[in-house]
Amino acid sequence: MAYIYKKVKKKISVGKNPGEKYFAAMVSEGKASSKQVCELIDKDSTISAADAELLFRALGEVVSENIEMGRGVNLEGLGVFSPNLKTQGQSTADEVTVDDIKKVTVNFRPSSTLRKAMEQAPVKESSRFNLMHV
Amino acid sequence: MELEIIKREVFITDAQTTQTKYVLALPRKNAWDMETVSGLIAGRTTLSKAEVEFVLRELEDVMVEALQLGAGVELGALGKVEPSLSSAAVDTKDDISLENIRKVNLIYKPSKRIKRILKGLNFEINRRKPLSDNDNKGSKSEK
Repeated sequence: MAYIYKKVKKKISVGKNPGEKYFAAMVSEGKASSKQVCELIDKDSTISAADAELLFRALGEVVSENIEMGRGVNLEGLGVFSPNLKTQGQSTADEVTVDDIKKVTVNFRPSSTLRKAMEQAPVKESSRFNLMHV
Repeated sequence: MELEIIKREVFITDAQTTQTKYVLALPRKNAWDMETVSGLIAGRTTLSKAEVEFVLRELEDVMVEALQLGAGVELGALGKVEPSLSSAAVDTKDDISLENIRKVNLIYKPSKRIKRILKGLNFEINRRKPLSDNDNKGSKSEK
C-alpha cells in the first residue's frame, strides 16, 4: 500500500530561477463518495446507510453554522475546520476597512491520527504516467 | 447576520527591515468539540449522541484507509478531503526522485453549500476595541 506519484512539467514564471520545471505530483486513486462511506459504516455497525447520510448532512449544517459565526469545529480524530480571512495589510490601523478582505476560506487542520497515517504510507513512482504537462 | 472581525497588528520582516502592517482577522473563539457537535447532530437526526460519536470515529478509520491508498473522501455537505504531495522543483525529468518530495498533505475542498455561505458573509469591524488586546499579540511573519 503506497502513494503513487507522477512527474509533471510546469512553467514557473516567478522566483529566482523561472522556466520549465519538473515536480512530483500525487496520482489520484479516485474518491470514496459519501454514499460509499455511508455503506461502509452500515456494514461495520448497527447504523444504517440512510442514518449515516442524515448524519453527514447534519454535520455539514453544523459546521456551516459555526463558520457563519466565525467559530471552528474540532472533530477529534478527523481534525479542525476553522474559518480564515485572507486580507490585504495597510500601514495604519485607521486605513483598514472591510474592503481589504480578499477572501474567506475554511482551513482544515488534520488530526494527529490522520497526519501520522499520511506520513507512514510509503510513496513510489507511477508506472502508468510517464510525464504530465500542466 | 454579520461576522465580527478585528484589526490586528502584524510584523513583516525581511533581511534588512521590519515593517508594521495592520490586517483584519477573526477574533479567536474556542472551537466546538466532538461532544458538542455530536449532541447537535443527534438533535437533528434519529441517532443518539453516542451513535453519532461512534459514526464520526468510524469515519476516521474510513478516511485513514482511503487516504493511505491515495484516494480522496467525499464528506457530503462538508466537502471533500484529498491527499496531495508537495515537492521541490528540479530542472530535468530524470532528476525527480522520492527525495524531492517534501511532504504529503491533506487538502480540504469545501462543499458548494459552504462556498455559498462564505461568499455571502457580511462583516462588521469591532469598534469597541480598535486593536483587540486578546488577539493582538503582534504576530510576526517573514518575507
